[in-house]
Amino acid sequence: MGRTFLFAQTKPAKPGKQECLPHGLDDVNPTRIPVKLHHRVCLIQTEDAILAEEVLANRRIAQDVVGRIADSVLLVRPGRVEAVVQELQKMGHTPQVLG
Amino acid sequence: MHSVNDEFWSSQVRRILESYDETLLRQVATRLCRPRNHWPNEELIDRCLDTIGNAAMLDRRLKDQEVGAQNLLALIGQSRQFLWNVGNLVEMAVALGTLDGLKAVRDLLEAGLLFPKFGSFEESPARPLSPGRGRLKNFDVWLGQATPPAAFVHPAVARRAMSRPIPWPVPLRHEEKRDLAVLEADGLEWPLRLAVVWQMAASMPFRRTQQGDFFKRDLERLQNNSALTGISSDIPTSAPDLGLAAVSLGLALGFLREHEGEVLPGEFRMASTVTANTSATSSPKDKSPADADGLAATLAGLWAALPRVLDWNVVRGWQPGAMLGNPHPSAQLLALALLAALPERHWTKPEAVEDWLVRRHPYWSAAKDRTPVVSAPEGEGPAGRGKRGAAKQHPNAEPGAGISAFLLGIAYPLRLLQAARAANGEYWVRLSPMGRWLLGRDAKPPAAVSFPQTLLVQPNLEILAYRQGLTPELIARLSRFASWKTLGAACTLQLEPASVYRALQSGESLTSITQALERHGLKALPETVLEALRTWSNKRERIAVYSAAALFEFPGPAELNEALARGLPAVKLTDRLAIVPSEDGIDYRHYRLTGTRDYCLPPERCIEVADDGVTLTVDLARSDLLLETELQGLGEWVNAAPSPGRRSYRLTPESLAAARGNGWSLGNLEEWFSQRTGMPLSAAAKMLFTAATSPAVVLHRQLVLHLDNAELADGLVQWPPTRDLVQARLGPTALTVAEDDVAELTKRCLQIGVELRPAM
Repeated sequence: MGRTFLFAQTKPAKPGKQECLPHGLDDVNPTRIPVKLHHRVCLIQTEDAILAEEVLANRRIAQDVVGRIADSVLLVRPGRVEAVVQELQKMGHTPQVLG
Repeated sequence: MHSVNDEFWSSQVRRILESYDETLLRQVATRLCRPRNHWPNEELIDRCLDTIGNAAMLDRRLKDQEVGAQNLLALIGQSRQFLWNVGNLVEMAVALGTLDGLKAVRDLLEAGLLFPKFGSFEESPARPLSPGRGRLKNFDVWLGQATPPAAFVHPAVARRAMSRPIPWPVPLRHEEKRDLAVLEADGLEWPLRLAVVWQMAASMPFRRTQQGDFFKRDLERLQNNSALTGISSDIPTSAPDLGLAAVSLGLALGFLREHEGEVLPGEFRMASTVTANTSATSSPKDKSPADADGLAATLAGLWAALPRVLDWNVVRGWQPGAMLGNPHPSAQLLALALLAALPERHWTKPEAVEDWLVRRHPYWSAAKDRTPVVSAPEGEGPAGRGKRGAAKQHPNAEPGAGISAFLLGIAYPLRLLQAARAANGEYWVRLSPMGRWLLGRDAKPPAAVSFPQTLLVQPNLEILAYRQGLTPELIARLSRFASWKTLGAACTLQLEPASVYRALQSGESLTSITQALERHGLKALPETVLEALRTWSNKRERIAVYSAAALFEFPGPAELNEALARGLPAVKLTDRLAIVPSEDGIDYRHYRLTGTRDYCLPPERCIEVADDGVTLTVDLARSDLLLETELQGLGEWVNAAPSPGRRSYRLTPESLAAARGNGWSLGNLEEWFSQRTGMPLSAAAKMLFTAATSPAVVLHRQLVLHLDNAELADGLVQWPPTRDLVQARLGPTALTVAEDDVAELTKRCLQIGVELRPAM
């Protein structure tokens, strides 16, 4: 976590103040890819959209799903992953828990 | 279990020396490394550690010690457990003939050969005590503290001390017997029992009460599990509460761990967690963990962990919270050390060992002194003392030292002993080759016999494991993906979805499981078993749950593909999003972060609302994943970005109708608007959201009377003759009049001199 904060620079540095950049990284790769990073994301990825629908049909899981960023990708409410995994197991699924 | 790694203990010694007051440090250093100059503290500590690592200097320092202190170190070496409660050390010193056992401990502390334990080893191995907590000025203060003090020895010291034989004050009676049929266990009883208890904890953690006991349900699970509590027929005697003993042992070994009142499964790796690196006849560098095969290493770990089993003892069984005055660790070590002192091939009776200990161990001998007992001849056990002696035991004293039960019920299954049954039914015991190696009498453990093919996998998913081919490594391996059902000469396991799922979750794969079964199987794997494993494995592949992953949001597909091409270890979710389970493998040099957001933080205000009330502009640097998904459900993306780093969405009747259909309520929308924009819901948005459900609007004709000034309008609205003819006031100077009232209003206005003219 601490390491990634080093990269966060959404505002230009004040005049006379050095920018908060990782040590020498600008010199290493001038063609860095712009990206926005989301930490500690909890989500479910299913094999296909039908399985995602099946998962969402479970009322308890649906309560903990706060969004759907793709047909087969469901965002889980922070802190509710364990409950979701347990509910998936009750449904007979054997989800692989990563991260 | 505490590591036997020398570096770990050296770091602990350094930490403790750093926490000594300077005067105490200099006193200890003077005895240990004998500095000739006034060195700084750091230099002194370095020199102390150098002395501990120097075998020749260490031998000289050990020779300086009194016999009682030397014996104590030798016993610690034989135990392979380097951390001991001071109470047990005192008991051992007294049992060995030292009049003042505490003095022997204090001598070792002052000589820098024994170190007090502060805090937890696991928390911060190399962190010195903070100055605020005070430095240790003398050992008496530490010994008098409330919690039972514990002290540790550096393994190098224990190894050197072990090479010297212990002069026992009264040797044990023994005989050489040639006509006995020697029995020796395979040493797998406890590894198997640990495997069962580990699986039980994995399926459902054991919950502890505030008093340290287990809740009734878990207590019953541990007491009634036949695999845990049953013993093999070749083991001479049993011990109480074996399931709970397994939990205590598992905790001491690190196979189980405690967290917030629950006993959870830890890392279950038999042979690799224990090492066998001590021997009386070799220097530390002569041996490595690889010198001992898996079984020897496992048994060494179990033997070393026994003194740390404090919640259970062989006499009373489960004794939660009975930390103080537990004499069993010292008695058990003394019993084995006594046997180690016997000539090779000589036998003795377990009762003789018990009798020796009951007479000399201060815990029992003190109890005997308090209550008169009939003296029995040396070597005759408590049973031989007759009813009179047994009846007059001190009420607080335990029914016996339990040494016979320990030797035959614990040490024998651990393969530390050989047993033999005489014609009269009495058992005789002596150290086994494994026991002799563990207690430093032999240089090498007995060679292991290997039968790699020992499993019979049956089509009904049951595995038959023949005991002679089992090894601790195989037990640990099987425990990961199959559930132990029965233990015996042939153990049975069951392949189950839950057990296979647990294995897959812990890093096993379909290939590794099938390879393990094929490698150790007597026959080829049945097709039904393969099919079941394949099904369970495939099923697991269908759903992935990321608990705390890093999600990369790229501006477009090209950037995402470029990142993947540069080696980002990510799974593609959409054409712009990719997820990485762990941030450890990310090379951040390839990326310029335009923003970072923590998914677990509360929503942030990052939306500006345009004057039209329906155009929302998102600050992408501050937006989060939830916002993106929410906006996709509420509005439509506006192609033309207002400026770099911003994205616009427009609320439309269709998008809001869809949101309403997806479960959004007006309350949700108002709350969301307030959280994300810091403003109340705009009128336009509210109208679009609620219009469809509002009652129908009535449209009708009206005449508007435009006046020159507001005062005149006020007068017409107030004066009774005209007031009833005005329908409503639209503004300061505009009134509405019904068409039918125009003539009457014109007439009354003329009375006051105001002329009403229709507009042209």
